[in-house]
Amino acid sequence: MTLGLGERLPDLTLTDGDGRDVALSGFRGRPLLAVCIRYYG
Amino acid sequence: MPCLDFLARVREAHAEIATLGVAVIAVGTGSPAQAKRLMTAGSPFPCLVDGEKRLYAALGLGRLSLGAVFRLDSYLSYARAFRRGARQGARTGDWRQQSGVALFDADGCLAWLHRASTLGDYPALPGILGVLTTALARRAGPV
Repeated sequence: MTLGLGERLPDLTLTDGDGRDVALSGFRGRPLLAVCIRYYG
Repeated sequence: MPCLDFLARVREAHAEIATLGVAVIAVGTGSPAQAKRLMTAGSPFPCLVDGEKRLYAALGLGRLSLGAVFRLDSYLSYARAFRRGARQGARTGDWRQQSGVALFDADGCLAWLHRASTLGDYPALPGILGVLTTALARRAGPV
């Protein structure tokens, strides 16, 4: 499902550089700028 | 390589973005080790990996067509990034992954989205700062 403007992001979990889970819901409470690149190389 | 160059510019603007009360994350499709290297090098914002591309899917960021990849704009993006000092590293992710920049409000709702039309198609930082300022002003509402 693709989000439209104004729609809430589901609670997705990504991983950090150590392989630990990072829940995007943890960033709620203030605006979040997500920069989605291809890869870090 | 244009991706790393863009992250470097976001890093330069991070203090100004943080002043606006906006958190920043970078998300990539590649190796967690590369994300960790950026963190070790002093990235002021978390560099995360979306191995299953769930955030990309939620934002409608798919794979670029070959026609979109091999556009003149792509080559120019690489040239600009190279001139600014970026260098190509190991390719650990999907080289045709469409990139994008999204702003979520404090409740996690999508407030603004830029989807790349080709490689290295990122919005200019002054434009992003303008979007942030406008979005925050809208949130504050009339006085």
